[in-house]
Amino acid sequence: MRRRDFLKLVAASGAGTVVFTGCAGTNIDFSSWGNGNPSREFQIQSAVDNPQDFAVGRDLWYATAFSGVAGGSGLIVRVYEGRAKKVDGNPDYPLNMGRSTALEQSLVQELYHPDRIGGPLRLKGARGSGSYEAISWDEAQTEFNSMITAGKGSTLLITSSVSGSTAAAAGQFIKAIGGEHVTFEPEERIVLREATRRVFGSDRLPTFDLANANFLLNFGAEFLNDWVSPVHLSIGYSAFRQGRAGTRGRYWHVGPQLSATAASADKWVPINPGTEGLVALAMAQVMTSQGLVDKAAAASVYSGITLDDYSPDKVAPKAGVTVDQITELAKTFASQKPAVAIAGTSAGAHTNGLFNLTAVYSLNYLVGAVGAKGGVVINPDSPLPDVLPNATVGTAYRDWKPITDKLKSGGTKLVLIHNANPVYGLPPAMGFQAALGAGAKVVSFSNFMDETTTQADLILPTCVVLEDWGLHVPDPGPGYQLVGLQQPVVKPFVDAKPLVDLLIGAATTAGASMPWKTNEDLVRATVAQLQQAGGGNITGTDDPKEYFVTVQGQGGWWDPSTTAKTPPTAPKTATKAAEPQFAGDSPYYLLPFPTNSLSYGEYSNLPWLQALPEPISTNVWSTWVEINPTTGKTLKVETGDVVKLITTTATVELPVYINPAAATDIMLVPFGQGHVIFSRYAEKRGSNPLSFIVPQVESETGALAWAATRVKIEKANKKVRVPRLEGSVPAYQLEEFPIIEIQNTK
Amino acid sequence: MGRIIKPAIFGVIVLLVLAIPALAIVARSYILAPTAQPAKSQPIAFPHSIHVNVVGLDCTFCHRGATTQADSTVPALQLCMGCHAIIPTTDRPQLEMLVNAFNSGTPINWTRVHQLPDHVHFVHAMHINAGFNCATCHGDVASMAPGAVVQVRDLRMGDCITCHRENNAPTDCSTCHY
Amino acid sequence: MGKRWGMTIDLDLCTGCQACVVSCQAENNIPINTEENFQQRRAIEWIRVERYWEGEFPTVKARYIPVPCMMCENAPCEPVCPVYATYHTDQGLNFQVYNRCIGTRYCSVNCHWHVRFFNFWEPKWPASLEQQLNPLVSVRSRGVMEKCSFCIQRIDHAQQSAKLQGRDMKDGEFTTACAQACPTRAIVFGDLNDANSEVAKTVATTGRGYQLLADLGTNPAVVYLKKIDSDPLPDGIKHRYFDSSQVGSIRETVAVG
Repeated sequence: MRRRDFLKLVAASGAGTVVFTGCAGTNIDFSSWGNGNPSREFQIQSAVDNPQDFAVGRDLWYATAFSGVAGGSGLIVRVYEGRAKKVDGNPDYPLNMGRSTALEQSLVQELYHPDRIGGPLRLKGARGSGSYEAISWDEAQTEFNSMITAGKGSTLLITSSVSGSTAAAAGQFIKAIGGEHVTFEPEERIVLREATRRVFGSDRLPTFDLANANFLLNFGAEFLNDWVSPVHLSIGYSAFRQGRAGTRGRYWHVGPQLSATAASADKWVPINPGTEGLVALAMAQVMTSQGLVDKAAAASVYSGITLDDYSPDKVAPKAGVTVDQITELAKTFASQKPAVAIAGTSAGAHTNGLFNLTAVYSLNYLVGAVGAKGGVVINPDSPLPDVLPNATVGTAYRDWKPITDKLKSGGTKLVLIHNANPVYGLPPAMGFQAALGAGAKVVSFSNFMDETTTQADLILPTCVVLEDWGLHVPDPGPGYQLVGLQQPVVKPFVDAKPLVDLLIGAATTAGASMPWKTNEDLVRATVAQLQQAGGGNITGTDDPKEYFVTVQGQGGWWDPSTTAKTPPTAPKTATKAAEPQFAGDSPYYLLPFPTNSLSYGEYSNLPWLQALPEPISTNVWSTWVEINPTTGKTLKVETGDVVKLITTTATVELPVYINPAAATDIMLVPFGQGHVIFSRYAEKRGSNPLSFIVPQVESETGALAWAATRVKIEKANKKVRVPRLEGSVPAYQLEEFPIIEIQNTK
Repeated sequence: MGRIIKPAIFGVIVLLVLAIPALAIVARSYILAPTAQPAKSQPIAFPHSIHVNVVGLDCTFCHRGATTQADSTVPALQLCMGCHAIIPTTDRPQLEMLVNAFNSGTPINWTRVHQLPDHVHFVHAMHINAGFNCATCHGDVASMAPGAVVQVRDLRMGDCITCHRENNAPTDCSTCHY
Repeated sequence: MGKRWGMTIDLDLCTGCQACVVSCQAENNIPINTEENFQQRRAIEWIRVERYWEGEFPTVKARYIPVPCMMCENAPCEPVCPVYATYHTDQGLNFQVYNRCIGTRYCSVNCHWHVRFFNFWEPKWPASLEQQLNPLVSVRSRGVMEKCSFCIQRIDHAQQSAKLQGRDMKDGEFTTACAQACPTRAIVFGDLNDANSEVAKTVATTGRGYQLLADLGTNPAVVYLKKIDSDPLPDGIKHRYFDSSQVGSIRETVAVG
């Protein structure tokens, strides 16, 4: 499109955005715009109004916040004549200090996505037929209100993990209407929350002071890519490596996969899947028996566990390591202080996931890393826990069973879904899709047709991140109180409404009296309460308006003096040790992994993320299975051959990628694809590992143990070209002409 | 005679074919030149003459971006209404059109007179900062008939480069083409 | 002394997250790379993250290196353009003039770092995604060569702002899109000729600096800082050339285009 065209186009509405009314179905009609409209090619427009915050011919930057798939970030968005052009990190925001991830950079594509639902839709035909008719908001509101009234007392609200103002509004809504609010969040994060709750006595996820650490021992957590708070931890990692003159932190990674994060490690210790906890106990045994750490401290954190039962010679064969390797891990961890141990991602996705994580996090007590410099940082509570609740905790897989049963039996009359896709994200064995069809009314607040949205009776599109207000309490925070302010940087691009506005309206319909009328009211009122409560880094003004504008300008509210004051408490009894269990009978493990770009598939509809090469394999736009070269020779497969992956749940065909770093008995398959419908960029592409794993549960939390499946492999006698960035041959450097030069410090 | 017919016809054809680019080059400087184009019609016959000569407005009163931005910008109707809200519109059809547009919330699509291709990034502010006034490139707009602003200077790359060379301004490609 | 724009990229800090890749695509109106583009090896990524292997399981490492345009002082791509569409600016940039390019593609043949990309097809975005395009960057049409420009639009904008305000540019006043996004600050951009700039100080004091393919003598403006390894693989495992037996059949190895 020519530059002149969209400049003209933008000036059209006078306030910088074009609001589409009466959009037909799910497609937006753009033919009236400048491009493709020859009569507008050579024109320039005088807008009608000239609002103060609309500058013609230059860009403006607005601060906002994104609660994200993980801890979230503060953002600044470059807006040019009412159009969001570029999302970057907010340099003032303590969590990410101006830096950002590939996902955050891609948020503009969510805003301007061609497959965004243009306005309210009503089901026209059988549920699941995908046949909808466009209706006006008035009609939609009337229908929604009648559904609310009918669903009183038996409503199910499903959202992603929400905090702050959205959580407050959701809470008030559920109280008013009667029902349940469940959170859909990556399962291993549920295990992580429980693990850190037990080990550190805190409901808030901790963060880690990598900037002052000398040794980082990581059991599988993808902390540099998409685990928990990647930008914040990457900034810490940067200082860990090169932030201190004369000191460079050392990072060792223990896990079954040389993942995107593990590639940054100085040493990778491959272990069998699910044995992280056993290795941690063996390390503890070595450290105590050799007097490297305080025996009493170890006995206290691991109380109930006889460490000598987990000596290296007993653990090594189970974990697939040598005694020397365990001993080296233990000795290095104990001697290179400050040392910190973290664990996550697949380590938590086993039947013994909670044990794995608690065993590793408890190691931090042995080296005095808890609440200390260079170690585990406990996050304080929200500054106003009642009006700005902490992040809601995900509902574990096992606990979805009673929810699904209640749906099936008709006990739940109304289901409301926002920013979650349970039909895709829960293994088919749960039968969630069928349960949705059992008679409850389903309302989706989604902006895209996905597996869950297409089960809805009514679709009410809600504002995306860049169009809405909100106050977030990041989890984990930076070690002190932080509230992020999300504000709309553009007017809604389609006929969408803020979620909270709809919830408030619904609660009012249900007879409750809500203290606020709109989401914006809620945010403003809450900031006023923050001001009243005192604290925070905004000083020098008493005027609530000025205070709010200052919060808007800096992107949030924070108080570096509010570090957690309660010392972390070690657990009274350690989580019971257990070995990982696997379903299926085969020499090969199936290990799915979240990717750097697509994570678990929440944003697979964004083309920039689909086109972003997975860091290790450099594959794009597809699902594949990574096989070790020797195993490949045994199976007689090469990159591009299609194989059948056979589990007791299902059989899928996937192309092979020979990965020199894959363990000989592990088949690695990335998450993110396999959407049946989720925009033109994600639909009918690849496979969803959740559809062929054998759903097991973590023994204590009930979270889905998605790494607990064994798989059989068969050749499928087909060949495809796997789309990727790397050339046709695996990239090894010529010794004589290295591309990446290394300086060894040993 | 017969001997020269074929070469003669051939020669005529060659000359005709060569005439095409030759004519194109000549046309570029005369018939097709931007300055040779007639005034394009505008939705409202806006009289620069009255606003500049009678009211005494400076160019930048309306075209506010010129001193600080790349685009000089055309004003929103709200700016016009600053005065025109109280000027009677009876028997003044052009003013009626303006007021109606504002009241009905309809933007006005002017026909663009000065338009550079998309691969050129012209920055007004730098030129104003260098001390040039608007008339240097846009001519005596105040004397142009209502609704009939025309381009009076070539403003194609040769023109830009000539002026840049004369004034020690950068002629680096990356200055304007990126 | 005139400016020479350059970058330092610290390989000890790069985590392969590729925020720089998406940031560049957002800033510079780069066409969306479809599956087909990747199959044809014609995906356009002005900055890309390459991953190199060392060894094989269990003694194996993977390393990342972001590769933007090197902005070579003696660029091999410049002398071969028949229409002088790529040239060296007086600020040390190797600059591509889109409207002059006639699509010979000789320049991309000469670039040893493979950082030049040709628009084999007309870039098309769905109409709504065009709203995201950056007005300060020309959208290239089919037949035009493009490459990393060190965000020349940001350089020009900063220079113009400084001139309008009657002052000199400060180091760190602006930066390229990739450097701005990078979570670990692996990429730092600045004026190599300004002794007080961060990049110049790093280049002057680091013991780890090197240039990619330096022996070709083009003097790139991008200086890499060597990756540090505190636990190198045992001596028997080296950087090794690929084992051709791992390569698939001929069909797999033929590069298209």
